[in-house]
Amino acid sequence: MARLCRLRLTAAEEECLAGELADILAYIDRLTLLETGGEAETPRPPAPREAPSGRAVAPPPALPRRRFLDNAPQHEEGFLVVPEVRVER
Amino acid sequence: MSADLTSLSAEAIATGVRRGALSARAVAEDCVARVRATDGTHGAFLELLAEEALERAGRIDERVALGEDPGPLAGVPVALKDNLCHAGHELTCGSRFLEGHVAPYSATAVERLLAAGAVILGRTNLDEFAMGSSTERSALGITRNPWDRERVPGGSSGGAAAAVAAGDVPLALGSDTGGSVRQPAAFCGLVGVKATRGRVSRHGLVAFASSLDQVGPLTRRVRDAALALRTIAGHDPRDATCVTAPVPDYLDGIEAGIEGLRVGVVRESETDVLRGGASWDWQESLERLGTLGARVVEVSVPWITGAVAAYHVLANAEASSNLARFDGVRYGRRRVAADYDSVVEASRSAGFGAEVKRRILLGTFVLSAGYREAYYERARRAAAALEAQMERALETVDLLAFPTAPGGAFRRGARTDDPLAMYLSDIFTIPPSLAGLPAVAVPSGRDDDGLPLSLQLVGPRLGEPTLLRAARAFEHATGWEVTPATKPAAGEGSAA
Repeated sequence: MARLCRLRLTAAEEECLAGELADILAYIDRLTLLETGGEAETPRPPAPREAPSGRAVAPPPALPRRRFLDNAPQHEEGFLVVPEVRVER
Repeated sequence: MSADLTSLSAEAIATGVRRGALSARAVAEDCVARVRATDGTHGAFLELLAEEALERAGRIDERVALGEDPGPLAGVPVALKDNLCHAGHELTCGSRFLEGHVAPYSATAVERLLAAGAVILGRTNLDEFAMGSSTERSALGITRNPWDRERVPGGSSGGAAAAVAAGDVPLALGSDTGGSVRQPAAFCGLVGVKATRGRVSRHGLVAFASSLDQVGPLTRRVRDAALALRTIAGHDPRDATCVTAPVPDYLDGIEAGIEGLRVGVVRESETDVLRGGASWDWQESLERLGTLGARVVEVSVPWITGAVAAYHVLANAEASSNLARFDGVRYGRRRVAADYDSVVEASRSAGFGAEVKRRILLGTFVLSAGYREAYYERARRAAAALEAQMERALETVDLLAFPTAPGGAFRRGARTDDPLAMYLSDIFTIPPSLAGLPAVAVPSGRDDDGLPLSLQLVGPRLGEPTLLRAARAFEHATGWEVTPATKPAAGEGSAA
């Protein structure tokens, strides 16, 4: 599960989290007690949204590349430097 | 001139500045001095934008002198929870992962505050990525409750709440997913508002659970909350979930009282968790509503007992997806490793705290093959049933009433080793979040330790006018209009 989350857990973290998550899931299981087996109730759909009349909504301007790269961990000549993707053949 | 912010409301500041009777710069100077003198005791702020705030306030005064109107929040000092983008300023979300990250644009709510003449005083602390109910999960500092330093300010908007309660600013913006504006408002003796789903744009709010997140104000007075909400609410083409209904003037009719209003108390709501002073305060709050002319009746919402369970499936499922973007590749702290996958794993593992990891794991699990139906789909049905039942109840009454929290602020460290106990802090705030309904927390009294307690009122969709009117009537009846904020010692913090 940690791998699916793209997390690397220590043994101590695994042990602690496993117990905590088990408790939380046990609490969540109370949902089964509430189900009646009948047709599920559904809320009313929200009121139809009206688009502002007579106005085409223009897309907002894109983030300038330079501003985006200000936060990049690594960049070079205007491009983001990305770690190598290794594909098993 | 030095303004005493413990007595000045946002409304009074704006009115005074617009008339030229009050200097925005003097107000800002007083706030800055106060924060410098006292924030060490409660740690609300991650960053104080002193020079920028003073400069901006000065420009507002210049505009007024030229006969211009800076706007309905002219000169009002505001603090921002640090998950709201403010262009050109650091945005950390209380996480090591984003330390040093600079927001490239401003959130719509922030833009609207600025357009209304507000003065941004600084960034406030929060539980990491807004995941928490005590602000103890921030990786960047400790925030204490100004009422009692050994207590939590609530969370996740704890820094914002502490800043307002301490008298640093009259208004702060927070975010509320399952109670993160209302619960810290309750713990700090403040007014906190979560509006109808889609009423306030989420553009520029770092996403936790997109179907639940809402930007909302924390203030010392209901009228200030109404003023702030009017400013930030409204359609935004940059948020596809925004409602298009026009925004009314929430101050209009706010003093009209609640004679004849029907207030529902949910039979299945777990108010048996209330103890001592909290239980007594809850009963007294209902009696007070009756004294104000409201008719308090019982309603039934059976699915309310499943709300916390459903919330933690749905919110964390969405969070696991929303936080996938934090991979150290395009932004955030990148750890050096051999290849792409290793970089992502290492960056996330080093950058996220325990609570964030726990929620990502839970959210991923409930969406995973073999478990999705048993958890996620079941929670979706539960949330839909709850929403339907709350809507049906609100066809028979005008508002619903709950306690905002099970009691006053708990001690620091009391629940950090028990995640489930922490999650149950939000037992009363979660239902309106799941149902997308507006809710306001308003101070109601004090518990056995002298800490603030709070009443939560919930309205129908877009029912903010009635909600705020009721909150105002209740506030007036309690006499709780000024928070006894933390004051600097004599001689400290003066900006005369």
